[in-house]
Amino acid sequence: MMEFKDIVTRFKPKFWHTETSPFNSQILFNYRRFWLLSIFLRFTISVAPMLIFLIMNLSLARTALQNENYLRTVRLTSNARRTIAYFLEERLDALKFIIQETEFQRLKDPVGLFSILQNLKMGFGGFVDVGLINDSGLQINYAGPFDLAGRNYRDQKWFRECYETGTYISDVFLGYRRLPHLIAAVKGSIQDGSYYLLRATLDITKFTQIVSSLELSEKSDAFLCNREGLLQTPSKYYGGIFERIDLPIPEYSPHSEVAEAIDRAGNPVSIGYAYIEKSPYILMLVKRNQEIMKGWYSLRKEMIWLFWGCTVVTLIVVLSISTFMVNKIYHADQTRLSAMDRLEGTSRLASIGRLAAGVAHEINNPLAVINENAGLIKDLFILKKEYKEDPQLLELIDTILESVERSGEITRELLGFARHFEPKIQPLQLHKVIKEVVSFYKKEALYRNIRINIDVPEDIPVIHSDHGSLQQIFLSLVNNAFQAMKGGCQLDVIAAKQDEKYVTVSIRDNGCGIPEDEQKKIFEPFYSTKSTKGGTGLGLSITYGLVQKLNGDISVHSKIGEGTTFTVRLPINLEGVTPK
Amino acid sequence: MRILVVDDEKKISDVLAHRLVLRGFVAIPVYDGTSALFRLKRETFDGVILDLRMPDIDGIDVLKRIKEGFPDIRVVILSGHANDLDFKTCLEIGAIACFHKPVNILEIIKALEGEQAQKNDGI
Repeated sequence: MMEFKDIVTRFKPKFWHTETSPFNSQILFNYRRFWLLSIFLRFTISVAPMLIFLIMNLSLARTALQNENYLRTVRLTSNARRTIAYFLEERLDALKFIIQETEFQRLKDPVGLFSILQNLKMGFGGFVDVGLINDSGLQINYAGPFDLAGRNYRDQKWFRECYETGTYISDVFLGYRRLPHLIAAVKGSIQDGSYYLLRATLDITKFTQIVSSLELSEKSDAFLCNREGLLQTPSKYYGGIFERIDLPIPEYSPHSEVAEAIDRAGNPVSIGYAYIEKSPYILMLVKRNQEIMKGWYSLRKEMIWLFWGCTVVTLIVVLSISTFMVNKIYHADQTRLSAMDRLEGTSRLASIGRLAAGVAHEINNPLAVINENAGLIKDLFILKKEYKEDPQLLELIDTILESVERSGEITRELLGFARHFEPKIQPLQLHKVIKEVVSFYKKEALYRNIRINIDVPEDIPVIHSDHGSLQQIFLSLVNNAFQAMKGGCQLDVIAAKQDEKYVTVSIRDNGCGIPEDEQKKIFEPFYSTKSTKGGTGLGLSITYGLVQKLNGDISVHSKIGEGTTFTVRLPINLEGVTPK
Repeated sequence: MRILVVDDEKKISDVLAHRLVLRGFVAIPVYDGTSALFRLKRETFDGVILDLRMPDIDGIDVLKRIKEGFPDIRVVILSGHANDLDFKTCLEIGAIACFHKPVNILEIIKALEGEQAQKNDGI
């Protein structure tokens, strides 16, 4: 659960809680809505084509597979039909050949017929027995394993049919031998005009072999049935021989066809079928659709997995891009707002500076009047003995003079503040500048019990630099140090001569310190750890800019809990290089 | 010691002159640059206390003319408006010391009497 929360936090855009931002009133648009819209559009545009391709591809693959299967089924059915039809035809032709070639007398002769049967068995195979039947239905000769001579077939359907059409092939039946077999018969004529039939019994083993030799998959089935739907060869799934198949009988067609149906178990199946000419048989090839589409199903599964994979990747990418982009916009907006804020602040500060300078100037003259007059009163008191002895009066005058002096100091400081807007290079004594800056913090240090230690060695040379900029740099750094420190801490300001060209000033506090990853960023504009308290994040970046202007550099060294040291390196002589 | 006090603020120049008189100086107050230069031509002075901002002639111009005409006169600048740059200019021209108003009279006297040369509290 924690991990999930972490992930959410990582992906959660920075602008998510913009409502609480101090710049709320100036927000130009709803980042959250923009973000969601961006994700939605990008995601849709990326995923929709993928989805369309997936559907098209699958449907194409399905159609192709179905077509292929249709053709294969038709071909297989057609081939099998041809084989079976040929088998039957061949037997009939053999019988026809015998009728044409053999004397009726020889057919009537049991020995002759027996030798014909032997020849048939040898030459063609599949023959079990042969019988000769005259036109009144009486079997006048028989060669085979049973004693069937003298049997009368006149009333049997096949006899009449053969008599009318000339050839006949029967359904498979059990007959006397209790073995499935079929009858093939042809009609012949004798010179006296009477007719006879040559009848042969055929073993169906050959049939079964032909059907079972079709290369079919495990769940497929091939069999023969007659036109009433009785199975003529055993089937794997649709019943034993002579049973009725539980599939609809397809309509007659002279060609091999494929029909769709549903079997008893409720499985959709494709039936390849062919009516075998001159016989009551229908060849049927049954394939379960599920089996046929097995390849397609696995393809579909793979493609759907692929699709989901791509979708997830797309989602992550889209999410990252959108978050990154909106974060950038958000950041840019924040920067702009801060800049506006800063400009406002700067101009406000400048006006305050001008106002302060004006007030200071105007007050100085009246102060001088008070000063001189009070001074004169004091002078007069001292001259006149009666007042000189009165300590109360002198004390009052001294109080006035002291107050005037203090007011004078205040106006001088105000003028100094205003002066910072006019940069100029002049010789400066570092310890003076540092003391000046630190004096601003004397009171705060006293309240917060912070010790300030200034260490400027005697040999520090006079540097040529801009007074105002230096003041601002040190003010900013001391201010930062004060914000990092708690009561009882110590602030060290240490100056040192680095070489002939540079001096360094280190401002070291033993406050809270700066994390290492933040150290690189602290000089970046708008980087602030005090943003919630209204800091603009500009203090150190301005300081950095000022140090650069003075041809120096600034570095930071900090450890969490141990404190921070800012070191400013300044050229001793900036002469000839005007601040930008 | 004769001292000319130049300040457009009458209250200041009068009182300052009076206080100098009380301390044994001969001090004469004037209220603009023109009359200051006029007095300087006619009388002899050892020192001048000069305000920088005056209605007729700028204090720095007055200083220049004094230094041109009377290089030996010790001039002390006393200003309520000046900045460091003005003071620096004045010192370069030849003023002995520059003070921001208000200032202790003893400081001015010290500067005039030359006890503490080159006094400058501004820079």
